[in-house]
Amino acid sequence: MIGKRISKKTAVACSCLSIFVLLLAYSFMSQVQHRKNSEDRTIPSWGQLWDGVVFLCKQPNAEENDTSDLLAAALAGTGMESSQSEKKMGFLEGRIIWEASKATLGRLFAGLSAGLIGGIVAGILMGCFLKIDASLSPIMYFSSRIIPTAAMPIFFKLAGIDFEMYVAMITFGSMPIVTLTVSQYVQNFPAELRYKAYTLGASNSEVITTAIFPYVLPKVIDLAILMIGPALVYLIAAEQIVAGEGFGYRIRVLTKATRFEAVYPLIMILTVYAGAITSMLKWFQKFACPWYNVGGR
Amino acid sequence: MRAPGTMWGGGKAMSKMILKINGLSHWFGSNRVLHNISLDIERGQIVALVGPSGCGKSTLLRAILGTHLPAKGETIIQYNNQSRVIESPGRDRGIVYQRYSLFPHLTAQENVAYGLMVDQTTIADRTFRRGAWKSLRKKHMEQAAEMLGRMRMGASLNKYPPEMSGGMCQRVAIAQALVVEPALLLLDEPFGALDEATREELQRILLTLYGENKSAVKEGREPPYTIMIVTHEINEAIFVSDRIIGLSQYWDWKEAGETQSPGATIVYDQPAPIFNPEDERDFMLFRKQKDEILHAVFDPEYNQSYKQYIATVNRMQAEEK
Repeated sequence: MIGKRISKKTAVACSCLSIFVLLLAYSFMSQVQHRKNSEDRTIPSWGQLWDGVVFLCKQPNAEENDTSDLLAAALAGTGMESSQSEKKMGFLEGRIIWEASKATLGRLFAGLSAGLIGGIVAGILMGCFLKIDASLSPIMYFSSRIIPTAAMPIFFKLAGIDFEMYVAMITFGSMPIVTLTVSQYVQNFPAELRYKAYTLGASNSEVITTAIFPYVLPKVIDLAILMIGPALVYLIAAEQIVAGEGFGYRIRVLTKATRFEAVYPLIMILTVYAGAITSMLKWFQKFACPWYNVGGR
Repeated sequence: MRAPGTMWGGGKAMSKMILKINGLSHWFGSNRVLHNISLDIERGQIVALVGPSGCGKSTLLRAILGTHLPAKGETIIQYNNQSRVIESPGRDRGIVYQRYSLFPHLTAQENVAYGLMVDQTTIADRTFRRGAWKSLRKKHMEQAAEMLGRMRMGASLNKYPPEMSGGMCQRVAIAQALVVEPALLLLDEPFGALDEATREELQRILLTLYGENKSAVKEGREPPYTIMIVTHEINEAIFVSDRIIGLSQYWDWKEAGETQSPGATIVYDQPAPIFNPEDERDFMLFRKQKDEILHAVFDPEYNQSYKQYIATVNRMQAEEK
């Protein structure tokens, strides 16, 4: 029967099984590759992956053209790479993973915040006031159809290649979609509740802040979670082209050096970050919108 | 149970007009819905509006609420000793809908306190005068709890709407609308989605409010509740109200000189028997009036003068004298 309920144990067992099958498939593919070439790193073995993680966590940060990076890559595994780590650094501070995380997450947070805040404000105004909706809709629809990764050269030219460019690109990529979606949420706010608020004495701004905004907030948080993926796509693509630091930059550098045992962990760490941000937003949704999950949702 | 038209009993007649509708007509394109509605509602009345499906009951209610203004005519509301033409929803009219009756992000208590909050404070007050707002908020929550207690919802103050049954939600919605003391409370088929037992419970709550009106009159005060309930249930209309208004498109418009149906008009306006909350709901007691309403309002074959069943306010006043 469709929708038949299962126990939590069964759900956990199914999830573990699918992950196990995935890992098994990866191990098999890696083994096949290593049988052809024992030095191959395109599908690294588990040992090679661990070496990659250690490299990311221990290797001090360096620019692409800094030979110390390539030197370190060349020295990797020889036991001679520890000279750079003699510098006084925190546990991860100054390491590749730390600097890349700081750069990428900082840009992501700034860009996504600007896109979400701008989109929510514009979306609520468009949803509430039809004049604003009629004025902004054509622009928002058109902008939402522009592919930010295709328009990257324009961003580089207009906003440079510094922090502001990444923020502008993520904002431009996310704000139109957020605006149009939030506007739809607001227009779906039941008219009966709106009239009720007026009959209880609420002004326009009170209807928006005390009735409409709390009503759409949980859906806005769900939307923010959905926007993480596209924002990372724009960001990593831009970092791969012009950045001097960040996950995109590091993936490019390490791919050039064919250090895939470090590229895979970078991608996994980025995925874990996205998962952590999602979990934090879900937690915030539960905290700020306790009514959203009652009643068997 | 009292006979019709004797609400005020031995008390002084309080015939202050709360709502006056003059020549209200409405149409949607070529579809004529309402024709020349004129109606006065007095303070303290509980008026039931009945009619066939699609006759325009909700259209009339929305015109009174101010969300959809009529194409012709005006509606005047009396509130705080001032009369004004209705042009938008306002503080002087409360509303309880059949669905979407409560804000889903607020608990029962917060829903009832919502009106007190937006009515007595502004965003600036709540943002910049936190201390004063906090103590006022405490008073609002106490008032809300007291109102919910009267609706027998005292044990559900912290429940969200999805955690409450339909009947519970409607009790909270009535409390939410009444706590801000509107001049007129509008109920748009409020019990339509509920089972019979719950409907009867809520009908008795309305009778309790009518009882409070009677007590106020006896004590020389103005009756606090004036209610208009739109319902398609004739038994309900007769049981809870003291006045029944029938709206119908089945009337002798040709005799009135119209060449095509001009829309629904008032074809029935009679007092209803007054029940106490503890009275038995014996439908045989009002069988005759129910048949009258079915005939005058719901029968498409009826072609007698539509004014036959109009008992005007003046007649009620004459009886009181």
